[in-house]
Amino acid sequence: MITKEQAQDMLASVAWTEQRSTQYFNLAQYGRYGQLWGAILAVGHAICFFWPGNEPMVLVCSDIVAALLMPFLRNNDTTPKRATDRRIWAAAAILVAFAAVAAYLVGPDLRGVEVLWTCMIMSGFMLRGLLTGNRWIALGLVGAIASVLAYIYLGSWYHIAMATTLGGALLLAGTWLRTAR
Amino acid sequence: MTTMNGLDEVIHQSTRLRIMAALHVMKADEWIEFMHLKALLGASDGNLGAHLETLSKAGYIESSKQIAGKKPLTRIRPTPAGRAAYHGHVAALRALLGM
Repeated sequence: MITKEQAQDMLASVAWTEQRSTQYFNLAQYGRYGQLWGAILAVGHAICFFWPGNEPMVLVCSDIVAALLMPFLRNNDTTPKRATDRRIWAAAAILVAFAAVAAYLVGPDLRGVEVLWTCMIMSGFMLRGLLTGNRWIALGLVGAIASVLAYIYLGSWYHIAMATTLGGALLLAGTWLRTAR
Repeated sequence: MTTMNGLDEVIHQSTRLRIMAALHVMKADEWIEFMHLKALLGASDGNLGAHLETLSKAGYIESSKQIAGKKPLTRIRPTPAGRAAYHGHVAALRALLGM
């Protein structure tokens, strides 16, 4: 026979463990992707800062390298993979379409377009956070604010600011997601 | 394996209750690796292994052993019987509190 206090403690332990487990399944598996994008963005922007002149090519190549490495990471990832809800993919497609139109309207301002895309992606993270956990919201907020501040206030230091703030934020966020348990 | 008040004797032990709570949130087709479950629960290899063995003997979990690269990989998931037993146990705990 157990007492009411023991039953209460057990239920509290159950609730805590279920919450940690849910977070683990919803967040931890994405940490490596955050770290990958953070590292590649940091390197790409550092190259743009120290060897200016080829910004579009370097940044596009960075994105391509990251996109190519993602399936490799997924195949070598042993964390549990939870299938992403189709509605989240649909929401992402809407955001991407909107960003494509907005980027076209922004015009040839490469940095403006990059910050726009960054903010759109970070908005997607924040929206996801509403469904699956506050860490996504924090990640999105930090990334969006860092890139906008770098664009507005750090003109000639833009790339180094992006390398440290956005790249660093993604690296830290990736680590944070991986320890979501 | 229930007692008079509806509690499950196997799941009643605190570590096994936490194991089942962690596995309970998994979807039917999902597995979790031993190492990840260990990190999730903060348990030692030996302790977790012993409790998993007990749960397995009761038919509450199933495990799959594979070789990934050169490393052995043990994956675990709850069985339908395990999920039902866990639900019953938690319901019994709630009933004790009049919830």
